[in-house]
Amino acid sequence: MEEAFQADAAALADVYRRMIRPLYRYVYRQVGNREDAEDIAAEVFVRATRWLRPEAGERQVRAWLMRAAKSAIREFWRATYRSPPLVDWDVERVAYIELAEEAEDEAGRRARREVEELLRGLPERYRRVLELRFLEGLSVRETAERMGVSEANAKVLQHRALLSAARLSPRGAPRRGGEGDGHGG
Amino acid sequence: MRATGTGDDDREAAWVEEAAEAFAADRRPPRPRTARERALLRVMAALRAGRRELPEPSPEFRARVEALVREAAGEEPAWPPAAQGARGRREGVTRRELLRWAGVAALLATAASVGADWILDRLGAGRGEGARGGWREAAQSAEVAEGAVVYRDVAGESLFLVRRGGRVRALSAFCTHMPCLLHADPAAGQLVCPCHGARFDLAGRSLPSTYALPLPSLPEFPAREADGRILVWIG
Repeated sequence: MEEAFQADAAALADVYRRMIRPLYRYVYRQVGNREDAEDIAAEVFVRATRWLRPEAGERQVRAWLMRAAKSAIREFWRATYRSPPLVDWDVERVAYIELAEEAEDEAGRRARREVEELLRGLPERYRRVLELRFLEGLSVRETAERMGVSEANAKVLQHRALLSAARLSPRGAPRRGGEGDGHGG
Repeated sequence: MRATGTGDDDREAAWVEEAAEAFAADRRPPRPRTARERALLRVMAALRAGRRELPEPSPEFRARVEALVREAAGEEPAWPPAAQGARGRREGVTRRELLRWAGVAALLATAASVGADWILDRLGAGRGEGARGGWREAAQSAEVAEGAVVYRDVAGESLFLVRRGGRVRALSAFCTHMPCLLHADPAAGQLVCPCHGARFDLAGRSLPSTYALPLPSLPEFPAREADGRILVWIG
């Protein structure tokens, strides 16, 4: 009996190991930075080790992990951004995606589509500054050099481009209703 | 922008730059303080998440998960890591390791039908003062009659105490789908999830329901009775 238990536990551990990469990337696609992705993905594994029975089958474990990741991501977005996640599938759909690689691919497609959506219709310079800084990961200095502007200008441009992508007006512009004034937060 | 610049504007600009720097370094961005900052942060996160190439999980992260996994599998504890130095030196099995082991066993105790006795044997080593986990009184025996389902919060865990055929079991009161608190339906002999309608029997097994996939069984905590009290092991 003890051996059966041990064998199940070892098999489960192997499933977890194989899931590290797809699960991590799936989460990263929805938070956009390593530290948050690591914490959320680790939390999913903590929950799994606490909740899953050692004799659970591989398919069941994979499906469980993806569902747990989805709900951990939702909690994270609600707490941090007070908004739904970037990639939000209906629960039933995710429940059937047992292959983590497939879920990860799908998350990647959605995330890239979201980028296109955000950049669509922006003035060329706004688009450019966001691409350089966020997609290519250049520093302010490098971005300024590529665009032939001063660093201070690059920062202003970046700020405005983000506002534009978020469909917000610059602060100084008159805009009432909805927005808090930012104090006391 | 210059003409309309205000204190708030400068504050926001400084915050944006701090957040952009964090994303560039793949670090956690500063938390947003206003609705505007939330909206801006969401755009930045979306841009970073939609890059064509993503970084691989770091070796540190792999090691972190590996430690969890090995511990749960009852393999050699990977923690504390070697880097923590001579402090973690082993002289045979230390009391601390035994206690940790007992905690892990309690977490895995859902395999009750397979390994309850085996686990309980080992739990014996961890009993007593100073343990992180321990046997906690959950109810008087008389409070849980045959066929009863009694809800209790014990040491931060939410449990159902269930007596069937004279024997008491302690089941986690949270659905294994999403952490919704289950409702007891003793007449039907079921635990029902108000969120998506999942159902469990009083042994914690997932029952067919409107929810399409079979769910993992409810985690079970080791339970015993002594001197008219029901004790539950909380790891």
